[in-house]
Amino acid sequence: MKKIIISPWSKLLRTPGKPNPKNPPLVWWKEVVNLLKQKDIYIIQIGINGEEPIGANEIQFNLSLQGLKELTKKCDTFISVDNFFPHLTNLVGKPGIVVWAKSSPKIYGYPTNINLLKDEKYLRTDQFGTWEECNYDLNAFVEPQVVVNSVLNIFEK
Amino acid sequence: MDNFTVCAEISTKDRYFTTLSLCIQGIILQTRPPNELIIYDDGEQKDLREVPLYNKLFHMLDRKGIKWEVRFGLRRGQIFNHQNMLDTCKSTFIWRIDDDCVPEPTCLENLLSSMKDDVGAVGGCVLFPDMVLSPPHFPLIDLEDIRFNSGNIQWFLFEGEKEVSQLYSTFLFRVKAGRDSGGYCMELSPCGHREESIFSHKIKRIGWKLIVNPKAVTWHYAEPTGGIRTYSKHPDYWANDEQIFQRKLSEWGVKMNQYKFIILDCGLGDTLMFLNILPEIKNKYGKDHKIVLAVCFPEVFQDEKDVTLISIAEAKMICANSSMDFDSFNVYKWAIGHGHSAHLIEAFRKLYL
Repeated sequence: MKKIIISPWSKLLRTPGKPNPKNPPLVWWKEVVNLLKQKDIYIIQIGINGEEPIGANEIQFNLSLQGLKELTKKCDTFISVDNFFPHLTNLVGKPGIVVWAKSSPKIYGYPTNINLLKDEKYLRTDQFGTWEECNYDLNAFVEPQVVVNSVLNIFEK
Repeated sequence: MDNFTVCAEISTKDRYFTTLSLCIQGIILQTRPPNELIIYDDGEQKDLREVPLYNKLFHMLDRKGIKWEVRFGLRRGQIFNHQNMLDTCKSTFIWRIDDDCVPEPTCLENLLSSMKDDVGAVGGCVLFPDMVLSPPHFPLIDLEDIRFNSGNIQWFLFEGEKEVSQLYSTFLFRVKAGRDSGGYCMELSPCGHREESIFSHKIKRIGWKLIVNPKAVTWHYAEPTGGIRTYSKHPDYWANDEQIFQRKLSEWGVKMNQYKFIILDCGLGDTLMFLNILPEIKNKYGKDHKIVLAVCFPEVFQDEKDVTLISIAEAKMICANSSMDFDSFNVYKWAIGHGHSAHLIEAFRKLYL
């Protein structure tokens, strides 16, 4: 059985209740997970205590960096939003899928990954500004099926 | 150590009604009081006996058996006062205290406990009431590092005595050692920036040890008016004194250590991104520089050799005590300021390589 890690959430913003524009909604993630499970893929969610579970087979919260590296090596690939995790997997040498919305993969991504950016028109103009000032846009994310197809493409290679 | 005497010395300017009285009170309440207190007044030069607060303080000095004297200074800066004290002192030791410092009651007793036969001067911890720090992770003892970190271990609380290469602010010293060293550097400006570093290191250079005893605590109230702050509008004074200090270091054959200083006051992802260029930084600077990384996530660098990790708070302190601008190390500000539109790793590369 193939194993993938999902790092679904970027950190909370300082403004209480304001969603991080990097994060797809929970329902979006649940659909991704359901579709992956239908393909008999084992899913491990990583993050920190208090983050919303997305229905993965396993949750590994609060792992150390070393623990995350070891877990990454044991898994076949990963799915992540634009947070710290793609930078860690880049150092480990594990390619995966990054779901982008308003930040540019040309500035923050790696060509070794499949960078799923729906459209450049959603990118924020101030790529180095703070996220507090950026509006959330649900339309900026690709469809869940696009993510699943990308996973399958990786497995077929 | 028998039959010795201690003369406390305060050089003051325009701090009658801010911190000077607190300093004198701190001296009065010592568990081992000095034999004498001499105050050099470079300010208004009032007859303080006619000021009720000081009238009471002088009576307290009398009650404690501490002889006291107020000398009107030449108003040419503290060095002239310190040198006059050294020239005229009849005591074994001089305990010099800044006029915005308040010694703990056991301060002098602890300074004296470290004054062994081969010791020329003893300093203690000089702490800010609003910021008591544990010792940092960078070297503070050697003059070779002073350009980078100001070299003041006395700003921190730590355990056990340390032998150092220079002393700062307030300390106790052997009059003979001070005189044999040649005394104070009279070339310095009225603000006397670095005067205590130069003077104390000269004592070391003639063979005496310099010690810091952390049990001897003095609180630095850092009064923003009066004292050497009078000269805040004269950056040329500070620059002149720094130039003289650097010249002295050169004359003494002190070769400054070179530092590659990097501040990663950023998120975990950015810190991991920076790791991509660390090998290039080591390759370029590693041979003749100490690489110092100020980081929020030290665990990222746990396998890295040949780098010194410090905290962001330590980096802020280093910047505050040097000409470095903390914000100039912010890769995001750099990217915005330079109209950068390429990868962030490239921004790190341009900022640090």
